[in-house]
Amino acid sequence: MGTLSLGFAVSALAIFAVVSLAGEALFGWLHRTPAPSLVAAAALAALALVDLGAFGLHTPMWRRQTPKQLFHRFGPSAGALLWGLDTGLVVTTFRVTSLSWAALALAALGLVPWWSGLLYAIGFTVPAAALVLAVPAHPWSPEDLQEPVWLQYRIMALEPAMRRVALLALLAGAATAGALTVWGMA
Amino acid sequence: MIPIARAAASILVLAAGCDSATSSGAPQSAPVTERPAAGGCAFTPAAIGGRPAWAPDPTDATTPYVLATPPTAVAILVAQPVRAGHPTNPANKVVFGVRSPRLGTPLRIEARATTGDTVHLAIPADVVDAEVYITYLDLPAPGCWRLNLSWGAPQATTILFVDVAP
Repeated sequence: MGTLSLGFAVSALAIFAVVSLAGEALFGWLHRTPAPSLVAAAALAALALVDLGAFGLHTPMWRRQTPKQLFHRFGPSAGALLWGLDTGLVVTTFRVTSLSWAALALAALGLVPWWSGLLYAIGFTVPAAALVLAVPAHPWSPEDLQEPVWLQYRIMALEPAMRRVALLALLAGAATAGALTVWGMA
Repeated sequence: MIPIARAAASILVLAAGCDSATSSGAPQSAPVTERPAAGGCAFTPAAIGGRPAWAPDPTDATTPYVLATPPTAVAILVAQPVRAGHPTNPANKVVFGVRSPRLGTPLRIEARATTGDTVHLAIPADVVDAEVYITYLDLPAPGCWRLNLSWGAPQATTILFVDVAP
Protein backbone atom coordinates (compact mmCIF):
# COMPACT_ATOMS: atom_id res chain seq x y z
CA MET A 1 0.00 0.00 0.00
CA GLY A 2 2.90 2.33 0.79
CA THR A 3 4.61 1.98 -2.57
CA LEU A 4 1.30 2.23 -4.42
CA SER A 5 0.50 5.46 -2.56
CA LEU A 6 3.99 6.82 -3.19
CA GLY A 7 3.73 6.15 -6.91
CA PHE A 8 0.24 7.63 -7.06
CA ALA A 9 1.32 10.79 -5.20
CA VAL A 10 4.41 11.33 -7.36
CA SER A 11 2.42 10.98 -10.58
CA ALA A 12 -0.47 13.11 -9.39
CA LEU A 13 1.86 15.82 -8.16
CA ALA A 14 3.69 15.80 -11.49
CA ILE A 15 0.61 15.89 -13.73
CA PHE A 16 -1.07 18.66 -11.73
CA ALA A 17 2.17 20.66 -11.67
CA VAL A 18 2.56 20.34 -15.45
CA VAL A 19 -1.06 21.34 -16.05
CA SER A 20 -0.71 24.28 -13.64
CA LEU A 21 2.45 25.50 -15.38
CA ALA A 22 0.84 25.16 -18.79
CA GLY A 23 -2.23 27.01 -17.52
CA GLU A 24 -0.04 29.73 -16.03
CA ALA A 25 1.70 30.19 -19.36
CA LEU A 26 -1.57 30.32 -21.31
CA PHE A 27 -3.97 32.02 -18.91
CA GLY A 28 -1.69 33.65 -16.34
CA TRP A 29 -2.62 37.13 -17.47
CA LEU A 30 -6.27 36.41 -16.49
CA HIS A 31 -5.56 35.28 -12.94
CA ARG A 32 -6.35 38.61 -11.30
CA THR A 33 -9.69 38.87 -13.10
CA PRO A 34 -13.03 37.03 -12.61
CA ALA A 35 -12.44 35.19 -15.89
CA PRO A 36 -11.00 31.94 -14.40
CA SER A 37 -14.04 31.52 -12.15
CA LEU A 38 -16.35 32.17 -15.09
CA VAL A 39 -14.56 29.61 -17.25
CA ALA A 40 -14.51 27.12 -14.34
CA ALA A 41 -18.28 27.53 -13.88
CA ALA A 42 -18.85 26.83 -17.56
CA ALA A 43 -16.42 23.88 -17.62
CA LEU A 44 -17.88 22.22 -14.53
CA ALA A 45 -21.42 22.70 -15.79
CA ALA A 46 -20.41 21.20 -19.14
CA LEU A 47 -18.78 18.20 -17.42
CA ALA A 48 -21.93 17.71 -15.34
CA LEU A 49 -23.94 17.60 -18.58
CA VAL A 50 -21.49 15.08 -20.02
CA ASP A 51 -21.82 12.85 -16.95
CA LEU A 52 -25.58 13.12 -17.23
CA GLY A 53 -25.31 11.67 -20.74
CA ALA A 54 -26.68 14.78 -22.39
CA PHE A 55 -26.53 14.73 -26.20
CA GLY A 56 -25.39 11.11 -26.08
CA LEU A 57 -22.08 12.11 -24.48
CA HIS A 58 -20.15 9.94 -22.05
CA THR A 59 -17.45 10.63 -19.48
CA PRO A 60 -14.27 11.11 -21.53
CA MET A 61 -11.56 8.62 -20.66
CA TRP A 62 -8.90 6.35 -21.97
CA ARG A 63 -10.58 2.95 -21.59
CA ARG A 64 -7.53 1.25 -20.20
CA GLN A 65 -6.56 -0.53 -17.00
CA THR A 66 -3.10 -0.84 -15.53
CA PRO A 67 -1.84 -4.26 -16.74
CA LYS A 68 -2.12 -6.93 -14.06
CA GLN A 69 1.07 -8.52 -15.42
CA LEU A 70 3.07 -5.77 -13.71
CA PHE A 71 2.79 -7.68 -10.44
CA HIS A 72 3.88 -10.95 -11.98
CA ARG A 73 6.71 -9.35 -13.94
CA PHE A 74 8.14 -7.00 -11.33
CA GLY A 75 6.95 -8.43 -8.01
CA PRO A 76 4.60 -6.96 -5.38
CA SER A 77 6.62 -3.85 -4.39
CA ALA A 78 7.80 -2.65 -7.79
CA GLY A 79 4.48 -3.71 -9.33
CA ALA A 80 2.54 -1.65 -6.78
CA LEU A 81 4.82 1.34 -7.38
CA LEU A 82 4.31 1.12 -11.14
CA TRP A 83 0.56 0.66 -10.62
CA GLY A 84 0.50 3.84 -8.51
CA LEU A 85 2.59 5.77 -11.01
CA ASP A 86 0.16 4.78 -13.77
CA THR A 87 -3.13 5.44 -11.99
CA GLY A 88 -1.84 8.69 -10.46
CA LEU A 89 -1.37 10.12 -13.94
CA VAL A 90 -5.15 10.71 -13.97
CA VAL A 91 -5.54 10.43 -17.73
CA THR A 92 -4.26 6.92 -18.42
CA THR A 93 -6.96 4.71 -16.88
CA PHE A 94 -10.74 4.36 -16.57
CA ARG A 95 -12.66 7.23 -14.95
CA VAL A 96 -15.95 6.70 -13.18
CA THR A 97 -16.96 10.36 -13.45
CA SER A 98 -15.62 13.63 -14.86
CA LEU A 99 -14.42 14.87 -11.46
CA SER A 100 -10.80 14.22 -12.44
CA TRP A 101 -11.16 16.38 -15.56
CA ALA A 102 -12.77 19.08 -13.43
CA ALA A 103 -9.81 18.97 -11.06
CA LEU A 104 -7.34 19.32 -13.93
CA ALA A 105 -9.38 22.21 -15.36
CA LEU A 106 -9.22 24.00 -12.01
CA ALA A 107 -5.44 23.48 -11.97
CA ALA A 108 -5.10 24.86 -15.49
CA LEU A 109 -7.15 27.91 -14.52
CA GLY A 110 -4.96 28.60 -11.50
CA LEU A 111 -7.82 28.11 -9.03
CA VAL A 112 -5.85 25.49 -7.10
CA PRO A 113 -2.12 25.60 -6.28
CA TRP A 114 0.42 23.73 -8.43
CA TRP A 115 0.89 21.12 -5.69
CA SER A 116 -2.82 20.25 -5.59
CA GLY A 117 -1.90 16.85 -7.03
CA LEU A 118 -1.07 15.97 -3.43
CA LEU A 119 -4.70 16.70 -2.48
CA TYR A 120 -5.83 14.49 -5.35
CA ALA A 121 -3.50 11.77 -4.09
CA ILE A 122 -4.84 12.10 -0.54
CA GLY A 123 -8.35 11.72 -1.93
CA PHE A 124 -7.32 8.35 -3.32
CA THR A 125 -4.72 6.97 -0.94
CA VAL A 126 -6.32 7.74 2.43
CA PRO A 127 -9.65 5.99 1.68
CA ALA A 128 -7.80 3.16 -0.07
CA ALA A 129 -5.42 2.71 2.87
CA ALA A 130 -8.35 2.75 5.28
CA LEU A 131 -10.06 0.03 3.26
CA VAL A 132 -6.94 -2.12 3.11
CA LEU A 133 -5.66 -1.62 6.65
CA ALA A 134 -8.80 -1.17 8.73
CA VAL A 135 -11.32 -3.49 7.12
CA PRO A 136 -11.23 -7.12 8.23
CA ALA A 137 -10.24 -9.44 5.43
CA HIS A 138 -13.06 -11.90 5.75
CA PRO A 139 -15.18 -11.15 8.79
CA TRP A 140 -17.62 -14.02 8.46
CA SER A 141 -15.27 -16.78 7.62
CA PRO A 142 -13.07 -18.88 9.89
CA GLU A 143 -10.61 -19.08 7.00
CA ASP A 144 -7.59 -16.82 7.14
CA LEU A 145 -8.17 -14.87 3.94
CA GLN A 146 -5.82 -11.96 3.36
CA GLU A 147 -7.82 -9.53 1.24
CA PRO A 148 -11.17 -7.77 1.80
CA VAL A 149 -12.42 -8.98 -1.57
CA TRP A 150 -15.99 -8.87 -0.34
CA LEU A 151 -15.60 -5.10 0.03
CA GLN A 152 -14.67 -4.69 -3.63
CA TYR A 153 -18.06 -6.07 -4.63
CA ARG A 154 -19.83 -3.75 -2.21
CA ILE A 155 -17.94 -0.73 -3.56
CA MET A 156 -18.79 -1.70 -7.11
CA ALA A 157 -22.44 -1.90 -6.07
CA LEU A 158 -22.16 1.68 -4.81
CA GLU A 159 -21.01 2.99 -8.20
CA PRO A 160 -24.42 4.46 -9.23
CA ALA A 161 -24.62 6.35 -5.94
CA MET A 162 -21.06 7.62 -6.42
CA ARG A 163 -21.97 8.92 -9.86
CA ARG A 164 -24.85 10.89 -8.36
CA VAL A 165 -22.62 12.33 -5.63
CA ALA A 166 -20.00 13.32 -8.23
CA LEU A 167 -22.69 14.98 -10.32
CA LEU A 168 -23.83 16.98 -7.33
CA ALA A 169 -20.20 17.97 -6.64
CA LEU A 170 -19.78 19.19 -10.21
CA LEU A 171 -23.01 21.19 -10.06
CA ALA A 172 -22.11 22.63 -6.66
CA GLY A 173 -18.67 23.55 -7.99
CA ALA A 174 -20.18 25.21 -11.03
CA ALA A 175 -22.61 27.16 -8.86
CA THR A 176 -19.84 28.22 -6.47
CA ALA A 177 -17.60 29.33 -9.32
CA GLY A 178 -20.51 31.24 -10.87
CA ALA A 179 -21.27 32.97 -7.59
CA LEU A 180 -17.62 33.91 -7.13
CA THR A 181 -17.57 35.34 -10.63
CA VAL A 182 -20.52 37.60 -9.85
CA TRP A 183 -18.93 38.53 -6.52
CA GLY A 184 -15.66 39.38 -8.27
CA MET A 185 -17.42 41.56 -10.80
CA ALA A 186 -19.39 43.42 -8.17
CA MET B 1 -12.44 36.03 -3.12
CA ILE B 2 -9.32 34.09 -4.03
CA PRO B 3 -8.98 32.15 -0.71
CA ILE B 4 -12.64 31.06 -0.87
CA ALA B 5 -12.30 30.04 -4.50
CA ARG B 6 -9.13 28.10 -3.76
CA ALA B 7 -10.69 26.35 -0.78
CA ALA B 8 -13.76 25.31 -2.75
CA ALA B 9 -11.67 24.20 -5.70
CA SER B 10 -9.31 22.26 -3.45
CA ILE B 11 -12.20 20.34 -1.93
CA LEU B 12 -13.29 19.34 -5.41
CA VAL B 13 -9.74 18.21 -6.26
CA LEU B 14 -9.65 16.15 -3.06
CA ALA B 15 -12.95 14.50 -3.97
CA ALA B 16 -11.73 13.87 -7.50
CA GLY B 17 -9.06 11.54 -6.09
CA CYS B 18 -11.83 9.10 -5.26
CA ASP B 19 -12.64 8.96 -8.96
CA SER B 20 -9.57 6.76 -9.33
CA ALA B 21 -10.43 4.51 -6.44
CA THR B 22 -13.07 2.56 -8.29
CA SER B 23 -11.84 3.02 -11.82
CA SER B 24 -10.04 -0.30 -11.94
CA GLY B 25 -13.37 -2.03 -11.55
CA ALA B 26 -14.71 -0.70 -14.80
CA PRO B 27 -15.29 -3.32 -17.45
CA GLN B 28 -13.04 -3.83 -20.43
CA SER B 29 -14.95 -3.72 -23.66
CA ALA B 30 -13.01 -5.66 -26.26
CA PRO B 31 -14.08 -9.28 -26.87
CA VAL B 32 -11.36 -11.81 -26.13
CA THR B 33 -10.63 -15.09 -27.85
CA GLU B 34 -9.79 -18.18 -25.85
CA ARG B 35 -6.27 -19.65 -25.73
CA PRO B 36 -4.80 -22.53 -23.70
CA ALA B 37 -3.12 -21.92 -20.35
CA ALA B 38 -1.52 -23.85 -17.53
CA GLY B 39 -3.52 -24.67 -14.41
CA GLY B 40 -6.07 -27.24 -15.53
CA CYS B 41 -5.59 -30.94 -16.21
CA ALA B 42 -7.36 -34.14 -17.27
CA PHE B 43 -10.75 -33.32 -18.83
CA THR B 44 -10.77 -29.64 -17.92
CA PRO B 45 -7.80 -27.76 -19.36
CA ALA B 46 -7.28 -24.15 -18.35
CA ALA B 47 -7.76 -21.27 -20.75
CA ILE B 48 -7.26 -17.54 -20.94
CA GLY B 49 -9.93 -15.38 -22.54
CA GLY B 50 -13.31 -16.46 -23.84
CA ARG B 51 -14.73 -16.83 -20.35
CA PRO B 52 -18.51 -17.57 -20.30
CA ALA B 53 -20.75 -14.52 -20.08
CA TRP B 54 -22.22 -15.67 -16.75
CA ALA B 55 -18.76 -15.92 -15.17
CA PRO B 56 -17.14 -13.03 -13.26
CA ASP B 57 -15.23 -10.53 -15.43
CA PRO B 58 -16.06 -12.32 -18.71
CA THR B 59 -13.74 -10.04 -20.71
CA ASP B 60 -10.70 -10.68 -18.52
CA ALA B 61 -7.92 -11.55 -20.97
CA THR B 62 -5.12 -12.21 -18.50
CA THR B 63 -6.28 -14.59 -15.76
CA PRO B 64 -6.46 -18.35 -16.46
CA TYR B 65 -9.64 -20.22 -15.63
CA VAL B 66 -10.87 -23.78 -15.65
CA LEU B 67 -14.38 -24.45 -16.88
CA ALA B 68 -16.11 -27.34 -15.13
CA THR B 69 -17.91 -30.19 -16.82
CA PRO B 70 -20.84 -29.78 -17.09
CA PRO B 71 -20.05 -26.08 -17.63
CA THR B 72 -21.93 -24.70 -14.64
CA ALA B 73 -18.96 -23.45 -12.66
CA VAL B 74 -15.60 -21.91 -13.34
CA ALA B 75 -12.44 -21.73 -11.24
CA ILE B 76 -10.54 -18.51 -11.89
CA LEU B 77 -6.91 -19.06 -10.98
CA VAL B 78 -5.91 -15.69 -9.60
CA ALA B 79 -2.80 -17.34 -8.21
CA GLN B 80 -0.62 -18.80 -10.93
CA PRO B 81 0.19 -21.59 -10.38
CA VAL B 82 -1.80 -23.10 -7.54
CA ARG B 83 0.87 -24.58 -5.28
CA ALA B 84 0.78 -27.46 -2.81
CA GLY B 85 0.54 -26.72 0.89
CA HIS B 86 -0.29 -23.34 2.34
CA PRO B 87 1.82 -20.93 0.28
CA THR B 88 1.91 -17.19 0.82
CA ASN B 89 3.06 -14.32 -1.37
CA PRO B 90 1.29 -15.24 -3.47
CA ALA B 91 -1.34 -17.31 -1.75
CA ASN B 92 -3.50 -19.77 -3.71
CA LYS B 93 -6.35 -17.37 -4.38
CA VAL B 94 -9.08 -18.92 -6.51
CA VAL B 95 -12.47 -17.45 -7.41
CA PHE B 96 -15.19 -19.98 -8.11
CA GLY B 97 -17.98 -18.57 -10.25
CA VAL B 98 -21.19 -20.57 -10.40
CA ARG B 99 -23.92 -20.37 -13.00
CA SER B 100 -26.93 -21.12 -10.82
CA PRO B 101 -27.76 -19.07 -7.70
CA ARG B 102 -25.93 -19.85 -4.48
CA LEU B 103 -29.02 -19.08 -2.40
CA GLY B 104 -26.80 -18.51 0.58
CA THR B 105 -25.42 -22.00 0.56
CA PRO B 106 -21.70 -22.69 0.87
CA LEU B 107 -19.68 -24.17 -1.94
CA ARG B 108 -18.69 -27.66 -0.88
CA ILE B 109 -15.61 -29.10 -2.52
CA GLU B 110 -14.50 -32.67 -2.36
CA ALA B 111 -10.95 -32.63 -3.70
CA ARG B 112 -9.47 -35.99 -4.64
CA ALA B 113 -5.90 -36.57 -5.75
CA THR B 114 -4.84 -39.37 -8.10
CA THR B 115 -3.25 -41.01 -5.06
CA GLY B 116 -6.67 -41.24 -3.42
CA ASP B 117 -6.05 -38.52 -0.85
CA THR B 118 -9.23 -36.58 -0.23
CA VAL B 119 -9.79 -33.11 1.19
CA HIS B 120 -13.16 -31.56 2.02
CA LEU B 121 -13.61 -27.77 1.91
CA ALA B 122 -16.62 -25.52 2.54
CA ILE B 123 -16.54 -21.94 1.29
CA PRO B 124 -19.24 -19.60 2.65
CA ALA B 125 -21.41 -17.56 0.26
CA ASP B 126 -20.30 -14.27 1.76
CA VAL B 127 -19.56 -12.27 -1.38
CA VAL B 128 -22.48 -9.98 -2.12
CA ASP B 129 -23.85 -9.08 -5.54
CA ALA B 130 -22.05 -11.83 -7.42
CA GLU B 131 -22.47 -15.58 -7.73
CA VAL B 132 -18.92 -16.28 -6.66
CA TYR B 133 -17.03 -17.95 -3.86
CA ILE B 134 -13.54 -16.71 -3.07
CA THR B 135 -11.02 -18.80 -1.22
CA TYR B 136 -7.46 -19.95 -1.02
CA LEU B 137 -7.33 -23.41 -2.53
CA ASP B 138 -4.73 -25.08 -0.36
CA LEU B 139 -4.28 -28.76 -1.22
CA PRO B 140 -1.64 -30.87 0.50
CA ALA B 141 0.22 -32.41 -2.43
CA PRO B 142 1.13 -31.59 -6.04
CA GLY B 143 -0.59 -33.30 -8.94
CA CYS B 144 -3.90 -33.31 -10.77
CA TRP B 145 -6.75 -32.91 -8.31
CA ARG B 146 -10.37 -33.63 -9.18
CA LEU B 147 -12.73 -31.18 -7.50
CA ASN B 148 -16.36 -32.18 -7.03
CA LEU B 149 -18.27 -28.96 -6.49
CA SER B 150 -21.75 -28.65 -5.02
CA TRP B 151 -23.84 -25.62 -4.06
CA GLY B 152 -27.36 -24.20 -4.14
CA ALA B 153 -30.76 -25.64 -3.37
CA PRO B 154 -31.62 -27.93 -5.05
CA GLN B 155 -28.01 -28.84 -5.08
CA ALA B 156 -26.05 -28.28 -8.28
CA THR B 157 -22.95 -30.38 -8.86
CA THR B 158 -20.11 -30.31 -11.32
CA ILE B 159 -16.50 -31.43 -11.65
CA LEU B 160 -13.27 -29.75 -12.60
CA PHE B 161 -9.61 -30.68 -12.42
CA VAL B 162 -6.86 -28.40 -11.15
CA ASP B 163 -3.14 -28.89 -11.57
CA VAL B 164 -1.33 -28.26 -8.29
CA ALA B 165 2.34 -27.39 -8.60
CA PRO B 166 4.97 -28.39 -5.99
